[in-house]
Amino acid sequence: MADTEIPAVIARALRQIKAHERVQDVVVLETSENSVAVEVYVSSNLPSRWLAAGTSPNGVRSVEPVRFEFTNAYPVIAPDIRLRQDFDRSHPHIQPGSSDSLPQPCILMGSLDELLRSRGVNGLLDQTALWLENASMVNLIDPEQGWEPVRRDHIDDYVIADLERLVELPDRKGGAVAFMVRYARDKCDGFHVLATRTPSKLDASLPSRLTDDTSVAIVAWSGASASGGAFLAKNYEPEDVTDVASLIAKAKRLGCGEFLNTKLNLLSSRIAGRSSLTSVPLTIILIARRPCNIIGQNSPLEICPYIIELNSEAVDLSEKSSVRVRLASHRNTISRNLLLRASGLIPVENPKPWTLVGCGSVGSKIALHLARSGMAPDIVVDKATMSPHNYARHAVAPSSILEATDYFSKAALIANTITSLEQRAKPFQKNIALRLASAPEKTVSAMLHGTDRIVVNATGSISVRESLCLPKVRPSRGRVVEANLIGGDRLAFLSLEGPNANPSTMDLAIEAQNILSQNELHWHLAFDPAVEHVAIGQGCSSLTFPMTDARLSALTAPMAERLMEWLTSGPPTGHGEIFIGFTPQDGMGQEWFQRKIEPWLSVDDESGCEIRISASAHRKIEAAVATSPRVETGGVLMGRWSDVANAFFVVDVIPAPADSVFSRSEFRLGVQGLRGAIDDVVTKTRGAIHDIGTWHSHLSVSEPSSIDRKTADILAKEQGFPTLMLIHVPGGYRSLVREDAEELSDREI
Amino acid sequence: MTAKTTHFPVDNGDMTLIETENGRRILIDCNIRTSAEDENDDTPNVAKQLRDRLKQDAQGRLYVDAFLLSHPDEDHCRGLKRNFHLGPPDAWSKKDDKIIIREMWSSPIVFRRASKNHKLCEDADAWAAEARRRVRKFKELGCCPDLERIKILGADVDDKTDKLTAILVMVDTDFSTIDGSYDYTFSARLIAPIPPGDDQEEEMLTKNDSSVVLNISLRNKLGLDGARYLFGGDAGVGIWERIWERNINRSHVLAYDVLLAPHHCSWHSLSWDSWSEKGKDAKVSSDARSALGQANAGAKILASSDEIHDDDNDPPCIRAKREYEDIAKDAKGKFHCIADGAGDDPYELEVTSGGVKPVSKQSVTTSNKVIGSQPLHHG
Repeated sequence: MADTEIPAVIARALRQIKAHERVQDVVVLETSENSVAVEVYVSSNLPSRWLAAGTSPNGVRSVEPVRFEFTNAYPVIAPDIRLRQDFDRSHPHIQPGSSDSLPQPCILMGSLDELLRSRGVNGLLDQTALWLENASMVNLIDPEQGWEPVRRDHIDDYVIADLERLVELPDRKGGAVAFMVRYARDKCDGFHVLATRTPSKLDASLPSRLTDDTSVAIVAWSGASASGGAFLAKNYEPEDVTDVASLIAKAKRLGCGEFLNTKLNLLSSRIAGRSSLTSVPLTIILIARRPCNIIGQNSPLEICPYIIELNSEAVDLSEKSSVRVRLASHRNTISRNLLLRASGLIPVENPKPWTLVGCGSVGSKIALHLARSGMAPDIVVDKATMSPHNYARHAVAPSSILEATDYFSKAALIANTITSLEQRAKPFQKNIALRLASAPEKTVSAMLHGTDRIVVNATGSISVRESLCLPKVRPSRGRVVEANLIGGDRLAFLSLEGPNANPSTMDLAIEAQNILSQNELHWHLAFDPAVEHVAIGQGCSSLTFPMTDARLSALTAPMAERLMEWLTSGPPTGHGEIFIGFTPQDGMGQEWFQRKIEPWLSVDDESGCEIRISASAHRKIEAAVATSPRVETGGVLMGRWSDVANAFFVVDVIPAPADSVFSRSEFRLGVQGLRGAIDDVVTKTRGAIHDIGTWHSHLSVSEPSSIDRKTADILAKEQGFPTLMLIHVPGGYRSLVREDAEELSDREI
Repeated sequence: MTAKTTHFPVDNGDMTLIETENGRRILIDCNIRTSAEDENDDTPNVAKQLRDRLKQDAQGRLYVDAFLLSHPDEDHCRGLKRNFHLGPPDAWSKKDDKIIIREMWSSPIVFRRASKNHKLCEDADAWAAEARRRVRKFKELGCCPDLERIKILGADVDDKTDKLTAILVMVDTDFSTIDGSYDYTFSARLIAPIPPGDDQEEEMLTKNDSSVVLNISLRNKLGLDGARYLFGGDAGVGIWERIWERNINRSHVLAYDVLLAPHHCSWHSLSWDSWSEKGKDAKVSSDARSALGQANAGAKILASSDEIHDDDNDPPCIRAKREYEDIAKDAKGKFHCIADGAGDDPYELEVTSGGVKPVSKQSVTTSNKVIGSQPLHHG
């Protein structure tokens, strides 16, 4: 006893305890070779009126004796902390235990040993003092925070069941239902029980269905109370179930005793007299309806699982049975709602559907980021199969060498992974660009189904982008989000179309190029000849650029976040958006900037080609016209031509050079410095943006003049694609599209 | 949030911040000495302590929902001009970054002309000018605009406050509005200033005796009683005697869980005798003691003063401390001098359904104490 010397390390701890602000005294109770037990008198910091009374209304004293028992394993193992024997065990946050042992406060949601490592003995005292303070205020259960479920840590038996399914069971009448379950015994002799979703009858065939991996579970829940409302299990009580008798007593307190009893009697009669019964676990799950939601759940139903090990000697399931009952802990299965909740998102009835086109590195990361948040795409499309090198940055790792070399469909790989996260995605191993061009209606219906859907293009492919803008595709699909890395591993690009694909994903790509060309560092990174093959507009394929998985993930994650925002809160109305992310050479840090892109003007030319004009180019033209109202003015149209879309994209204009001539009847585009200005843009963007024609104003509404036609012919001769002459007239535009000196059309809009 | 009161370490002076459970903040008096802002000076930086506890409005301006000036003495309003925005809200500047007073709670003494007995320090003058400006605005508009509200606590003599009914709180009545809106977690009973009997009495009334005496009740959101605080400014023994006389049959209106011992624990609030002259022969006024002795079980009596020593000093006065200790003892409560607190930190009380308790220096949940004290690895 007290004659054993206290080890130095424990003596030091006792000194620290004594010095703690809230400790009034420390008394050594017993010392032995193996342990030192002390009583620590801790102030509960009771509020004034209760302090005067010496105790809180719920029995916490102003100074509580707390027993700390240090073992030889201290300081590796924290001391065991216990309250006085008569401390009210109905307090929440008291570990389950028999009434013989001292009540053990659960002072920390986590490991005491870790707390001791990080904050020392003071940390233990702080938590103990705080626990007592909260206990006195009965605010260990805070209705706003939720009902604290009885802790069931360090229990060997697990019941794995879908929480969503369990909480759907309770009805107004109350009841009990049986399920067949699969089980396995683990190394610690605990059972892992996996509940099925379909109820099962406890009929005569039951004994034959109990095998070495299949057993039965009974789930019971309460119904209405005598007064008519739902029966509420309002009292927090410690876990005291040890045998069948105490289990049934507990079920009665939770309002489901009768239902459980009936099922147990039936089960008992089915297996009675079966001497051959091998040991199988009978799982009992009581569902308690609490007065407020369980912490971390949006349901007031608490799941209380137990295991009874049935064998030929232990078949008594009556109210007086002393057959042992073990506490089990509930482990949820993965479900969409679980993932949503764990991600801090609110489950919604009908989440916005989305298609992922491109299941490569960027696409797979985005898909899995969202799948882990319960928001997986329900359609995934990729034409390719996995190659070994793809695994360097793909979100999914191969499960075997065989799989890594088996040229697995990328779309199927992602769909399988999504399935493992309890969501569903339909995979298509198809070349979507080709399909959209050859069978637009069918492809849209299968892969881009519905205009309310978001289509994420993570291919980095211009053909995919452009095929999504084909005339037969664009009006019948939802808004396109484009996500990829530009020109290597330092720039990321994310765009979202405006409503009705205006601005379209093509408009946004060229807007982005224009924006990038205005920042020297950005255009160097985006259009550097060294990475030319991966630049937007130049056949991007980010997979071919060597970079680490970490870098790719870092740039992709914010795009996934933004996509989540669009899916949950809905995309913004009225405009499109561009986000460009930039990371320094060493990857430490990121900077994102955002641009709202207003809808583009669309001018249909008689030739069938479309002329798309960015809002900013249109404004520049209007401004130039407004400053020269009495003479014709003009400039150079910058942008690009797309064969696939059969459209011009005017993203910017270069003003008329100083030597231009402006008169009432004619505008003459000068040359001074103009070539240099054009070449500057072409060089910066590696030709992604170039001159596509000219614009000029007419003072009155009039057709293209003969001069216009001649000039257009001259321009067309020098151009491998159609040339555009845009004419600003009061109230609109006229267009003149020429190709190979052959006039295709001219028309007022 | 939990209702809380913060008692700033301002030596012989008053400065208390009340936060109701609904999050409204009421400052009672201030004593922000310039030395408090000097880094090389030991005076606690109460301006910073206050600012750290205030909220900002949408324009980034710190504000208090209400500011009660118990009476216009320097040790109750020092630093007002330097730290609080006075004048029209439009004139607020980011550069000065002063605290907005959304509603002033003022005694009617602001309408009184300066006289021999009524000389004001610069800060008190500024308070009076701002109060008069707000009252003028009220008279012009028939109501107080946002950020320019004022409550006059107590009617003045000569009917000067007659046309101010909408912003006037009469003695012996309760109010629960703060800055124009009702807060059900708060109510206050105005106990004084008791209107003087006649002009002569008015002339004799010192600024101290014009102090607002308020019994503030802080409740929790369920409407349960939390704690009652009795604030009495610097009111002297004569006022406390009259208060007792007036409330003798309803002494519950004087009951408190926390008493801020008037006039920085001055003997003159409890006795007509001089402590330095009469020493142990000085007698306690039984009525004043009764008025100040309605302590609930476990009540705390706080002295916002310098440290209290066994000497002739007054305030704070050792004899007064002994009397308050006596009152506290009967109620199984405690006397506490704010200057005796730990270091420069203010003394903070949390209001609970069981009365008040010192705010624990730890976080308030059982689960996340570790979070924030070290990086947490997640596998």
